Amino acid sequence: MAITTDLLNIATSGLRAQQTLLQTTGNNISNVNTEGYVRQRTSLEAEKNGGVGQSYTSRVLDQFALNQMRRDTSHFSELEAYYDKAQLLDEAFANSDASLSTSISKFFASLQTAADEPNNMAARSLVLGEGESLLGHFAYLSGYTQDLESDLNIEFESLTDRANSLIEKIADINQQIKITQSANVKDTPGVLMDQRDQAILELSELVGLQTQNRDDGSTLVYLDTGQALVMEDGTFNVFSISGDPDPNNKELRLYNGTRGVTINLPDTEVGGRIGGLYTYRDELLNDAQRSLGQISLALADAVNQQNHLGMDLDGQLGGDIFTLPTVAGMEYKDNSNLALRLNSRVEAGRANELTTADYKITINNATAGAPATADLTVEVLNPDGTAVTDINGSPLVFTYNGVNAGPGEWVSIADGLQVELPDAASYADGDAFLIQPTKYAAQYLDMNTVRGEDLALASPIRVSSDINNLGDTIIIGTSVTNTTVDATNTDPDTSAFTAAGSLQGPGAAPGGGVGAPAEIYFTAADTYEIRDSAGTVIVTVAGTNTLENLLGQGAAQAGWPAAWTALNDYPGYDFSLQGIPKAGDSFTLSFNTDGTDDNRNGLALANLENVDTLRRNASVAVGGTNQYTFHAAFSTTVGVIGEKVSSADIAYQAADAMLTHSKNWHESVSGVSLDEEAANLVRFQQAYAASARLLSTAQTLFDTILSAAR
Amino acid sequence: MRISTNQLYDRSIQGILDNQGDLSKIQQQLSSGKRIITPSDDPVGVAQVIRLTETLDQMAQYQKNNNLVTSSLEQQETALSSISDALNRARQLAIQSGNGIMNADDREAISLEIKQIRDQVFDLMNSRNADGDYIFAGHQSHSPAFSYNPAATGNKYQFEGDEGFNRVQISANVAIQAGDSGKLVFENVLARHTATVSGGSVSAKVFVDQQAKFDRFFSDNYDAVTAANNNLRFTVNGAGNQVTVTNVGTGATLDTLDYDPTVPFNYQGLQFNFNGGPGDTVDFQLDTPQKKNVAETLNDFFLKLQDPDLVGQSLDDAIRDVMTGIDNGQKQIGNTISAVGGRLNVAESVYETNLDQEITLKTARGKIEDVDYAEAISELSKQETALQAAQQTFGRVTNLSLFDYL
Repeated sequence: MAITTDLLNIATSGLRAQQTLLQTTGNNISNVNTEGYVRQRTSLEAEKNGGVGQSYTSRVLDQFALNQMRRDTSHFSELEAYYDKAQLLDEAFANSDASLSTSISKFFASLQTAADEPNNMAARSLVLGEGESLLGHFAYLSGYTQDLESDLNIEFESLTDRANSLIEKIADINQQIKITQSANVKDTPGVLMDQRDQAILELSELVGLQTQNRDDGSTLVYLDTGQALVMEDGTFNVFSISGDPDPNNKELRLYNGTRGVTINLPDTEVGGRIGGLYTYRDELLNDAQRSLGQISLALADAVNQQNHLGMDLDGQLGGDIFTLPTVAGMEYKDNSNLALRLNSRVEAGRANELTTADYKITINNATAGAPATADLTVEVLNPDGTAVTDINGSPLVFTYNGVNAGPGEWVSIADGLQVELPDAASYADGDAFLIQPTKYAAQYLDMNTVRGEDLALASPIRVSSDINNLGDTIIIGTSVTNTTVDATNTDPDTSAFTAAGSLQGPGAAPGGGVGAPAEIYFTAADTYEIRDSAGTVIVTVAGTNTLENLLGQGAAQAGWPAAWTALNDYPGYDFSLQGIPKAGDSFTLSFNTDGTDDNRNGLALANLENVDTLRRNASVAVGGTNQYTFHAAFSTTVGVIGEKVSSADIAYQAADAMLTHSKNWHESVSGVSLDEEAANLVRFQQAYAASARLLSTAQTLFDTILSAAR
Repeated sequence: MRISTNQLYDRSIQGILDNQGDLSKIQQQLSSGKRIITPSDDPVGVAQVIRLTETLDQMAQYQKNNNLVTSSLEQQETALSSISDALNRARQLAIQSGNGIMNADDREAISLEIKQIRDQVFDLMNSRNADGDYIFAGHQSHSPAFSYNPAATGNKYQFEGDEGFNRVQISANVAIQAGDSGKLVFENVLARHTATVSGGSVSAKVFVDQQAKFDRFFSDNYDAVTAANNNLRFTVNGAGNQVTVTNVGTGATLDTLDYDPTVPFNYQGLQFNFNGGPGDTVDFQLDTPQKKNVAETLNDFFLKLQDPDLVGQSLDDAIRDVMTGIDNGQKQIGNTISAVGGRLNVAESVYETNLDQEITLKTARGKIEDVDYAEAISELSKQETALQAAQQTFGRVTNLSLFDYL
């Protein structure tokens, strides 16, 4: 009796066990295409009294392979995001057919053509046309980078939203696993774990992760940088982003809802897609934007300044060709009053000092008065907010005490900038503003003139030799360095030029008395008098051995008017002779009235293309080797982008290979093999048939006994 | 190694995708002819290409400038040579007019031809270029370089422009002068130096006998600052056989020479005729040097030839004036022509150098950015084969399933 019953039990347990096995196999087969599915295996245990006991179904998983895959996924996503974005920038900057460099070349080539024929109106108009298209090119590139930036900000938001929902999901599934597992210690809740691991894997695409498995089946998640995302007590932290003071410069933070704490994160180090995008922004996009701005501002300012030194086709002193933008400073959120403002702009003639840095300006001791005054602290910052350091590694900080504050009071500060504090004495101590002089500047440049006549190709000064000169001297060059017009002579930059298109006559020059130098009269081959237009001797230069810069030599004499020496650059022109003069020879200097077929300034304008006008490095003062040309600056920018993209490409390929490898590893352990399942199917089917056979045998045995007893 | 079903598909597909990526890159390289599709393909190369392209663009502009300056220099050369030819003819006529057998009518005929030449020269001095600018007017090329005002008291042909000239950049380091101001070419020409008897105790006559000798003396002694220093005096000594030359202005004694009243007295290329006894003086002065352009010189000569009474010393003087004027003018024009020729040579050699350099730079740029077709095509067929293999094996590998045999 007992044997038959046992046999029946054994057969039944066998049938049940084989069925479970078949179920597991079936489950594996049907989930072959399920994302994140880990194949399961059912293990059986023999029962002490015969038959098969409890079956345990568990996931076939190598935790090391899984961890490796997560790490590689983070790394790969980081580089993929960086590489994809960087490539967009790369293509925009380096498209050789539409390179900015080509537009710069075209602009200067048109200046050359105009300089070849200064009276040709078509050539002059072409210069302004090319200038406009150059500005268009700057604006296009700058606008494109700004679009990239705003896309990036949208992406940051959607990525953090996604990361937050994943974090929440992980924490949620962790709780469910804990409950399920405590209710049933035999079977692991495979599906829940698969879902959670899949969520962790997806999260690892977004940020770099570390995980820790707990005995209760839950998994704790940390950022690579150490901050906890999913914690033991079931609580979790979520990401938040904000930009202070630049709303377009989003920073990553971690927020704990339960405790109400916010932690700043080192955003470029978080890894994953988010980290990759931050790295891209800080390493490439920010610099590219600012380099563009720097090149455009320096070019516009250089052309403006050179044009100022010339005379246009209307016979007037040259004006601005381009208009440079004024940039509003961005207020920090902690400012005493968010309505307070600060403006900045490039100081005319100093754009060669510009850097690609941002500046934090802190205002202290704002004092009422006429005019109001304030103390300024200027910190030079990298685009990511860290300090720019000097060659010794100390942060670059400039202080300006007691500067004028108020509308229209432009204060010159470091690096070619000027700031205006329109709210005079209303600033509280510590109010701070961030100025980004170059970030979007390339979009806001404008043409100041569309008239070809305004191009100052001529030089405003004319030197003529007296026809009765007996010496064999010839005029080898004139130079104009300053054309600032100020009738009151109070501007320290005042030059000898007047608004009416002449040189200051007797009495009109600074200090009164004599007029601006208007004649050189030789009283001997090596001695000359510098006279004004009335013939009054200003100073005599005796015993000179060179005829270079005749006025400059006069300025070095004791008799040179003190009022002129006190000015920055007076009279603002000079000339040189060659040959041997004779006593009685005379050379007169005058305004170049009607001298429109003159290209002296035009050549200087065209030559700006070859002049080192851009500052390379913010840490070192401008000048010497710390300068390069527009083309060099642009090709350096393109080269840097290309280099970064190229090394990102290599790293990306390597990460791809690593990820493939670890995916293979994981798949190899945890993936479903249909062939294997097919074999199992046959095997378990046969075992099932055998168990069924056992059952029927047991039944036959029972029947045999029953019939024997009948 | 255990291979899961998904792995099998993933691997095969990955292989195909990789091959397609490589193939498309090569296809892109071949169709564009460029090895560098994006800067990341060769960041250093791209920076170089940008610089090389910039230099090539500049060079193209320099060549344009060069063509322009060459044509303007050639025009100037033509104008100057024509003037020079005309002056040679005028010189011939001047010599002819000094021929003793010429009568007033003959001189009149010559004067008419001189007048023609004068007008031709004046016209050439006001040459205009294709844009209508006066090429010898300096920076003020909108208005004629020279004006003619018959009523003027001094020179009737006046320069109206300035001494400005433009340079044209024909290479990164070479800028050549595109034009010459008429002031230096035509206007700054000295007329013949002369001396005049200004007084003294006896009457005297003077003319320049040896112009070259007198010119040297003049240039050494003329004082443009203090006019009185140009007054000289001969004083005959007590014995009546020597003359002392003194400078009236400075009081300095310049020379003491033997004197014979019966023969003309020569001093520094000047020939004096005076009959002085002991103690007699002759005052004379170095005339203020005058500058006359060739049109003015020819005009003066024309006016003098019109005078039928022009004979003897006056005719000689007139001929000397015009000869010296033409010679000085020719010298200046000749200098300018050779300077222009020199500039044309420079322009041409720079043009050639630029062409050579252009080829070198283009080759250098090509080496960096152009695709090597042979290499790329062989790479293309290699990738093609690889893709085909990947696609074929995909079918084979994935077709195998144990289920097919159950």
